Amino acid sequence: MKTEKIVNKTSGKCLNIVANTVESLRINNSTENTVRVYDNGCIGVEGALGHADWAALEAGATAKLAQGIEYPETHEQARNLQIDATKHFFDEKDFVPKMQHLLDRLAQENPKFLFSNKIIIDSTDASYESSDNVKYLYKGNEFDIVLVIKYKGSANIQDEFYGAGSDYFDEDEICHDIKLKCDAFLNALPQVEEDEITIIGDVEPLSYAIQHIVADMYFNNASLFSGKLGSKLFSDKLSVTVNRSPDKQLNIPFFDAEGVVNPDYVNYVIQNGVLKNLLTNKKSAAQYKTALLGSAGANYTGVPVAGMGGFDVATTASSLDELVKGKAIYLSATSGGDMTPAGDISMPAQVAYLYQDGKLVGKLPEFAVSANIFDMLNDGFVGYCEKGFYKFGKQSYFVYKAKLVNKA
Amino acid sequence: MYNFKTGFYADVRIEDRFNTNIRMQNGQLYEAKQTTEKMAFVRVFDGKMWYYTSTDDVDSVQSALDELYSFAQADPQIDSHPIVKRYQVNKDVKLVFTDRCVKNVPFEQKLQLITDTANKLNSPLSNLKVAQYLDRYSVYNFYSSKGADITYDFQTCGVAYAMVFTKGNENLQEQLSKARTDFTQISYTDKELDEFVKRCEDFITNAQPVQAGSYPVVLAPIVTGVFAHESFGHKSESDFMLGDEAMAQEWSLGKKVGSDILTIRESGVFEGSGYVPYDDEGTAATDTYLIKNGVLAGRLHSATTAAALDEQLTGNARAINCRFEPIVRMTNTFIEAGDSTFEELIAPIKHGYYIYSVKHGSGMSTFTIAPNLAYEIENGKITHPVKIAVMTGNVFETLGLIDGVGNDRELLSFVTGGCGKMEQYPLNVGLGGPHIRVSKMNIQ
Repeated sequence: MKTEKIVNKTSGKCLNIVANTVESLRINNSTENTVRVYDNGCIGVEGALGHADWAALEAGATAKLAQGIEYPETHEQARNLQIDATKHFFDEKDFVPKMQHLLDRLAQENPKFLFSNKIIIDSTDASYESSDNVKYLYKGNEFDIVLVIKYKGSANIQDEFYGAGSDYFDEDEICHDIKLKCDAFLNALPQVEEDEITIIGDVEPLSYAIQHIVADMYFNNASLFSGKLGSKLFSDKLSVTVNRSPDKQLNIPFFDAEGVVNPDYVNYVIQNGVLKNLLTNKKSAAQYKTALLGSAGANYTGVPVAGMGGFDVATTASSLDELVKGKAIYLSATSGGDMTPAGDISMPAQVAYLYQDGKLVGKLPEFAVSANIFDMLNDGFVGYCEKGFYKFGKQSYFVYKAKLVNKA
Repeated sequence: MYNFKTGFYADVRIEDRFNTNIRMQNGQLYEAKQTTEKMAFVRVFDGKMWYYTSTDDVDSVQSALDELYSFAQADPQIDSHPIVKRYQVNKDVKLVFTDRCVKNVPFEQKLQLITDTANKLNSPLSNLKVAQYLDRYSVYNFYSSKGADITYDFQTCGVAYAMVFTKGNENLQEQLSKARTDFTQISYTDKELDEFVKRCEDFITNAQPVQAGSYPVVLAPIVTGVFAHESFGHKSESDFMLGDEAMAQEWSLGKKVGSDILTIRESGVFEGSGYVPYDDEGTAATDTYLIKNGVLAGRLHSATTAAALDEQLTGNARAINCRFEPIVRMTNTFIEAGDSTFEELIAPIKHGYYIYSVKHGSGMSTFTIAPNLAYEIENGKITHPVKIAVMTGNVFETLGLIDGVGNDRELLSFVTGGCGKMEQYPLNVGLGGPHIRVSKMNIQ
């Protein structure tokens, strides 16, 4: 028999912004408590919000073993690891005036735009304990700014978007990044003539691949990649990991929902183009006799599931300048993309800019980006970096070649 | 109930939510839980700023309220504030699901339902089958410093059977799902199950690629509902107009925004996943025409947006749960029925597409719908299945391109997925409409 106790305390302060003004302050504090019991090849889970009566939770979880949900009982060596990755952004009593100052400046520097939505400070205090004497404790926090940008008088719900997470706050950097976007937005350009071009975007193309590397999909012949584990499917340059290092991630515990900590916090999904591992939890890893990835997730009352917490792409260049010479398109906002059963991806560009010689030149008319997933992540993959035209926070630039279709 | 202080507006929303979630994969039980969560969300307004907090301990609501008061500054004129003046003072108890409450349905019966149904879903082209039962019964209490005192309930239950069909290197994931407010209404007949499997087998075997371009399309009722929700529903949420006077001009009521045969309605009064008898500010549900015969007829409001635009409350201030503040959201959104049959809608199309089912949709200036099962229409006949990744259109252009509306309106409910708006996902909504024809949409 094995028992696990998990406590996940989260707290947050969230400002709602309406048309350049702080409209509200929301204070959230939550504690989720979980007990999992493993015995005779089954799992029982019981959870509670707020105060936990641990004896009652354990009794409840033990009773639920009778449901017969099969789950392997694994045992680990005793270990105690505590990491406090909490950062100091500013005195939290200054949160409202400091953010209003930022908003006033954004309004002044970008008078044709309105800024709305959220600025958030979130904190996590998570612990995992098992009857194997494994004890993990993690504390972390992050500053998030997620602004909807509206061009005054536009009939659209939103015209642009700015989002960044960080372990620091820097008003100058945020203002720089947003002005960059707003200035480019105001310079309307004609459609590009090219039907195939270099695209700078986020990791959305990878998200279509990831749904096909879930072990349950893969081993039931329901994945585009079924039968290809260990094969080279993608570009040499493409490496994707689960990396839960506190140095790498913001506000994500170094252990997953099942208390798994990878060596140096890292495990490969794709390594130099080779499909190395699948998305697993302890159940699917045991069921299919495949490697445990260490990225499981779980609701506080639920059975663990395979997840992708701590997803990371290995950089192939130190900066965007190294990756892109000359002309490209920067996809600032896409929405509603999807993939056909044959792996053909289409991503409608909601906001896109011409990028040339290291700068955002101007806004392009509407189009959709189209490519087959195998092409996009193989010969079409140019590279990935985290430094480019934005200055603030964690940023990513996923660069690939694709076709443009349905050009306005 | 609570000690509300003068000089402030305040309200308390409490939800006692019961959920069942049972999931089976290939006949094996993966999840089986019934949970009850009771949470409260507390708001204080001092005329300048709102202060919110949430708590898992409903016995501590008064102390949460008092803490928020300490951040705010009293305004003796708060009752005459344009937002506060608009708040309704409803006193009501509206418990309509107690006689068919899903809490009273034995867990074993719920498990048996999906076990038996999943056993009947078989195909040589499918190795992966996930069956899910989901229900929710919530009792809400709402109290305000103006005297509102409301108790009401909400219920949905449903099943979702997802299968992955494989042929060669290609895969199709499709789901058969049904959601109602009554447990006795969520089973499938053998014929329905057989038709689902055969349709999917036909698709994975015969679906052809499409050439990207603009084509006439006919949308099935569920796709019409997603279209109405994404293309215009979100644009009807008035919070995007706040602070932008030019927008109020652009969106003045009475403006022609769509074809004459287009009418879109929004209402929380209908039972189902979009049932919202009172919103999260205590406003009673209304029946709002967003577009009537192609003309902009109304929009959706919270008290804040209604005050800003000097319009009436509509009962659309909603939060996904008691961790979030209410914002302007949809409830049930649907296109009204017209007078065409399905055959009449496809008859004039020489080359176009019939969109039968949908994976998801989204909307900014360009709305997008990701079809799942779709078919080619040639010379007025449906010929073969086709693989379409995404269908897109400019919202304003497309509303004017609706040139056929069917007579077969459906209002649909859901227990999986939901509507997302910024940080708040998923919100239970209903949507629907009849088959409609659009003369031109981008197909990719």
